[in-house]
This record gives sequence, C-alpha cells and structure tokens, in this order.
Amino acid sequence: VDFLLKSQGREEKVQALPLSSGVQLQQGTQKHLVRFLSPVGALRTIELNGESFEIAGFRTEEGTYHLEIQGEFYEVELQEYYKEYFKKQEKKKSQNSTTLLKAPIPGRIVRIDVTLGQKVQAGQSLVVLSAMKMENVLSAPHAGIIQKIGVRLEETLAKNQFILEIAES
Amino acid sequence: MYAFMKKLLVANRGEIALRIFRTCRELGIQTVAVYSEADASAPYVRYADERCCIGPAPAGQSYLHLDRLFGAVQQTHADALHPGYGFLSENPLLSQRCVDEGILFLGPSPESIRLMGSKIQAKSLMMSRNVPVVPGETKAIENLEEAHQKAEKLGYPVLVKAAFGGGGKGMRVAYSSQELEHKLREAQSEAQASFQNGQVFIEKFILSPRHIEIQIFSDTLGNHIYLGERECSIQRRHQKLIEESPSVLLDPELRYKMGTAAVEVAKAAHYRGAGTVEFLVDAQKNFYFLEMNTRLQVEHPVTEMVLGMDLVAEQIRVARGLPLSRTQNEIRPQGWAIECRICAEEPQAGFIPSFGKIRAIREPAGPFVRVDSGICQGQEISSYYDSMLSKVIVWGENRTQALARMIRALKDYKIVGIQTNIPFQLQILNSKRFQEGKLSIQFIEEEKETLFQYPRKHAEKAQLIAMALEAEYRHLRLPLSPPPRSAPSRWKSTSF
Repeated sequence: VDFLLKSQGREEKVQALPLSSGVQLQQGTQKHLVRFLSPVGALRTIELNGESFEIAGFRTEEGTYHLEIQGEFYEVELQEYYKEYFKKQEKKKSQNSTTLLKAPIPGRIVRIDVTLGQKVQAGQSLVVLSAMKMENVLSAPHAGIIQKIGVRLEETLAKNQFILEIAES
Repeated sequence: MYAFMKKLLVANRGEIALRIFRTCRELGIQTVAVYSEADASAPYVRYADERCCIGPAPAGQSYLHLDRLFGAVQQTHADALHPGYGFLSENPLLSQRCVDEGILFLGPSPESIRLMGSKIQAKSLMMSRNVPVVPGETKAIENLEEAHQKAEKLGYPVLVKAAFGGGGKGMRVAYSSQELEHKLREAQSEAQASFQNGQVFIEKFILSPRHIEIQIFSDTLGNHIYLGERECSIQRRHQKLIEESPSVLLDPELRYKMGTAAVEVAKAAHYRGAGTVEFLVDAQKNFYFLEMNTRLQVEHPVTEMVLGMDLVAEQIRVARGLPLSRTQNEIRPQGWAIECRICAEEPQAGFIPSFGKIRAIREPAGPFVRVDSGICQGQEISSYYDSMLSKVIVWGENRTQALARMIRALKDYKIVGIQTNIPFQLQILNSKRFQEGKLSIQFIEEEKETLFQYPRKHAEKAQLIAMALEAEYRHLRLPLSPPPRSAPSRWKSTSF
C-alpha cells in the first residue's frame, strides 16, 4: 500500500511493505523499520527505528487510527496516495464555505442566542446545551451569518444532531 | 454498649462504592451493592457480596429514589448504610430514614446535614461563632432589583451561588452589573435542575484565592479532631481536578488556626463522623469559611495517605458508637500525597463529556501508587452519571518526589476507547507554576494559554506507526490467495 505522509506542510509518498515481525516503510530514499513487540491488541509495544513506544489505541470502522503515544493523542486519518490524487482533482471544482454546528453531546437546548440572518463573530455564543446538569455554551468557530437554525428551545438533541448553519462572511 | 455491624449497603455507585466495599471486606463486614440498569455489570456491583437492582438508569428513578433504596435495605437485611458522596449523601431525608428504620447511618444526624446544607444558615452560624466568612449577606435573592443593590454594595466581581448546592453546580461569577441578570438566571436554572431548589445568594468574589479544606472527624462521645488540610485549588468550573496534602501555603501556625476553626464548626453543628470544612485563603493568608461538606469527600485518600489511616474504617467505628482511634496529638502527617481525578472528557474540545465503550485499560501500579477506580474493560461509559472514572493517588517523601511519581503513574495509565483528561492533567503537573506551588482557584483560567498547548512531538511518528498498523491489518485480513476450497470447515464437519 502507498500512503501520504504529511509533515510541515509537505506531503510525501510512503510505501508500506509487511515483513515477518513488522513493516518496512519506504519514504523516498529513507527507510523506516517498524517492529511489533507485542501481538495485535489495543495496548502494544512498537519499535520505530530502534526506539520503543507503548501505544494505546484502536482503528475505527472507517479506518481512522486513534493513537496515544507518551501521553499525546493523535487521530490519524490515513490517506492513500492514489485516492488522494483523485480527490484533489474533484475538490478543485467545488468550494464549500458553510459550517454545520452539531451537538457534541446529547443534551437539551436551554438558550438560543442568535436569530436567522444574524452576523456573528468568532467565539460568540450561539446556543446553550444542558447536559449532565452542566450548561455548555456552544460558540461560533468563525465569523459569519446564521443561515439556518434547526432547533427549538427546550428541544432534546441526540449526539451529532444538527443545530445550525453558519455561512462564512 | 457498642452496636454491631454485619452488613453494609452503599447507596452509591462507581469507585466510591468499591472503595468502601474493600474496607468492609478487610473488616469482615458483608456488603450490598445497589445499582441501576445501566450499571448492572460495573466492577463495584460484582465485587459486593450481594447486589440489588433499584431501577432504570436515570438517577431520579434509582440512586436518588429513597423508597427503592430502602426496599433494597429490607430485602437484604442490611444493618448499616453508607451514602458515599453526591446523590443522596447530603440529603437529610436519607439520614432521617435510617434513624426511623433503625439502620446505622455512616454520616451525621439529619439535623447537622440540614443545618450545613443550607449555605445561608451555615454562614450565619459561623459568624456567631467568630469563624471568618466571605463578605456577603446571608439571605436568598428574591428579585433582580435586590440582586443589583446587593452586588453594588459588595462591589464587583460577585459570586452568585446556589443556596442548597455543592459540587460547583449553580455557581456563576458576575464581573459587572451588565452580566448580573444573565448569570443570575444561569445559576438559578442550574440550581433548580441539580438540587430541585433554585434559591441563590450573592457574596463577594475573592480574587485568586486558594481553596484549602480541613478534614475533621467527630465521634458520638464528644471528641472532635482535625486531620490536616487538603489543597484543592486546581479546579475547572468549580470542579476539583487535583488535590494534595499538605498545602504549600500552610505553616504550622495557620494550620493550627484553620484546624481549630474547623473543629469549632464541627462543634457548632453537633457533628458526628467524617466531614470537611472548606475555606478560601487569600494571598495574605486570611481564611474564610466557605461551606461544610457533611460526607466523605472524593479527595479523602490524600489525607489517608499522609496519615496512614483508613477514613472509611474510622466512619464505621464512629457509627458503631466507638471512640475515635486517635487523639489530636496522634495526628502526625508524613510526606506528601497528591490525587488526580480521571474524567471521561475531551479537554481539547472544551471538556465535553466523552462517551463510549472502554476497549482496553491498564491502570498504573508500582511503589506508593493507589488507584481508586470504578471501571473495567468492556464497560460502557454513559451520559447518565458524573464523568469521573477513577482517581490516582500517590505518596512521596516530599512534593517533588510525589509529583514525579504522579507524572510517571499518569503516563502509565492507558485507557482505550474513550477520551480522558489525563493529557490535561499532565499539562498541569508539568507546568512550571504548578511545580512551584503557586496555586489559586483561577490557575487554569490564568494559565490557559500554556496549558492548552499540547505537545505534539510525535505527530510524524504517529503517522508512520498508523501506516505500519494499517499495513499489518490488511496483511492479516486480506491474504493474497483465498483458502483452498477442498479443506472443509471444522465447524461444518462437527455433527450434533
């Protein structure tokens, strides 16, 4: 398999070759050797170029890796070299500039601070979601105009339920 | 005559229920767990000698339901009840019901709970006993106009606080009169939702104080002692995150003053059992009575670690009518203890609770590390209850050693499947200001720029490792050639 490695704004092709007790990764002229020191599981010791790490993590059904390395958390969405190439071609055609605000947790809407068509600043409070007896203020990720409001006061929301839409101004 | 205790029921869940059961097992007391349908397979339920389902997941229909709790008491013939913390622990009706049914209650009398439960009444009582309190009137706010007048008189910022609250819920700071109405509403609605009582009052907001509390213990023979302090200044939205004992700030003189004030509070409340008197302490070392918690605290292990004393065992002694096991002179703290609360939440995403299944877990161990945990592999973390999963407590000869030990323990703590605040805890522990012990309850707010700068040293390594894992995954699951058809499956060839 060929992947894309992203580092410092650059993208580079990496070729992965399974070996008997690990994987060899070829990045240009550079070779990385990954060895698995423990069997498949959520907690593993993995050696990368001779340095060993305790890795806690899992693969989602979509193929995203959630990895914890020495107290740092990474969500790695692997990009296959050829798929990315085609995606880029398509992306050039369309530009999407609205943001959908969804409920990050299940809860109840206890306050709506904005109205349809209102201009908002980045960080401005939009709605207040009550969950686990705490009131959570959801604020605008960027400046824009409220395009759509999909909730009513006192409405109970499921996780990821649509709340409102902001168009970038 | 001392009462016997044969079987104790814990009217609580999670790590605290398990922690109490462990002491009971050491003392040869039988244990009963009560649980909601959401907790049927929780570790504490399995650990108990007997278990009783008391209703569906919402706490109002289970852990907060007095009749169902006492149904379990009758069914199991328990002769004692421990309330834990949270839920009904500070509801006088639970203590009263135990009195009425002749059950030993591991806590104070309903009168003491009622008295200290009303923040307003408690404050007036302290004033009459010359215990210093935070400036502000001890009367519930009736309308907005009155709130404005009172706030103006005290001077902004002011703190709007639930009269029957706790755990940081129903509290808001208003920095100006423009903010007051809005903050008042928020505090009232949160108080109503959390405590079924929307009454709030206003007091002066003390800038950048420390939160330092004194553990007290009283028996039924009139002995009251204090067991040193706990520094709990590291808080977020009034929820404690890190607690330690002793406090960097306290010298023997201040410790003595606060300790005797706390004992004064216990005497005034005719107290029995374990209690905590919370104080705010400003930079000039002035201290103000904040409130008394009439129960075992979440952070009680730090006191246990510096004293070598089991506070639950002590509660059992007191409930049986025995005298305290130590006198004031025998309370000699040693070394330094720190506790970190591990919560299922995403600090990177505004501390929203994290739900899901725990796919794998490995808890820290090793010298002087204690983990009070209520979770296990395969457990579903739901949105019904508090987000706290466990507590890590360490002991060291001094603060520096304890800190290094805590950092090691948290790095060893692996929880897969849900997000936790461990990375955030590490950020605090590694910060220069925390290491210097310059704490205040505004610590997180004041240091947020550095605290939320998570190190990302391993970003490239994470990608490489993920690639290797994906290559392994595909290699193991997608063999190059399909298995030969001639080999029959062993499953199919087995005949029944």
